[in-house]
Amino acid sequence: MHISDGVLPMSVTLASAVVTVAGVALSLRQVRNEELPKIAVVTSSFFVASLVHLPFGPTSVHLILPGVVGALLGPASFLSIALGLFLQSLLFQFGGLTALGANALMMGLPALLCGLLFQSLRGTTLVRHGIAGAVCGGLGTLLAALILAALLALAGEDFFGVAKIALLAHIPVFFVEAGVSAFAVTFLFRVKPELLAGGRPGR
Amino acid sequence: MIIGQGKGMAWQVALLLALCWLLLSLPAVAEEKAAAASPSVESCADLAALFVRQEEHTSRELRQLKRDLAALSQKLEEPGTSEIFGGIGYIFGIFGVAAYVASRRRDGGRGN
Repeated sequence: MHISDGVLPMSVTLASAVVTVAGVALSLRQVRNEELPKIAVVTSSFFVASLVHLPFGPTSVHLILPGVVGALLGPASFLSIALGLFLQSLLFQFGGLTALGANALMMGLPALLCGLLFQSLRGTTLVRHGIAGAVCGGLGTLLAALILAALLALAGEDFFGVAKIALLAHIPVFFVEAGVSAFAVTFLFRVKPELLAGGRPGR
Repeated sequence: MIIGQGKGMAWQVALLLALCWLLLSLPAVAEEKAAAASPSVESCADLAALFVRQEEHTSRELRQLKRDLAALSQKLEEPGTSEIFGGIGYIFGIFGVAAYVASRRRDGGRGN
């Protein structure tokens, strides 16, 4: 789910780039020094996750993981996703450099929202963490598909047509993401629960 | 000197003779080869059938080649291990530098 170069008109590209720069700047201000290693690890997981392709009919879709990134990093997730996407566009030719702003918005905003949602949903038990992780994982991908449709609608496409295609193509991803996120979150809850504090001091 | 000259003449004559023999025998060899390669060519219909067979064979091989080429180009588009590990290295490097700068700033503040 990456937007390529030249798909969006100049105005949308520039506007999303400006919003992304602002988001990265705000995100940078939230980062605390002792969180840097955690952000690095989560960013590299996000960077590699999009290489996990699931064959689906004639095409194939891949993991995105905005839910897990949001749950783990909170406000810093926008920075993490922007950096991951930047390196993906440089090294993997996923998306494009000019569409980087739009792509970062498409995956960064769901991550931020999922981070907030995760903090309010997660209780103190393992089961609630699992449910919160699954909800965030599925919802992150769903929101990303909706933002993709909204961005393409700004480019003059039919919103409901694109949204339908994007949602249909990612139905398997919603479930896989929900499962992966629930697994990752419950695992972390058992071995290192302070990682799940989402950018706030957890202990 | 005379002997040397005679020897040279003899060489030239031998070479000329060999060349003549080669030239005379070449067409015959070519005809024999052609006859051996297409033993069944007797009429126009046979020739046409042969062409069709060869055409089918060639197009089958071409299809195979095109498939291989498409698979290869798809494989080339996929990121390889060097890109994946390079990207992870970039990320760790960037955050490593950030952590270094942050720690220096903190230490500097403590020193002052």
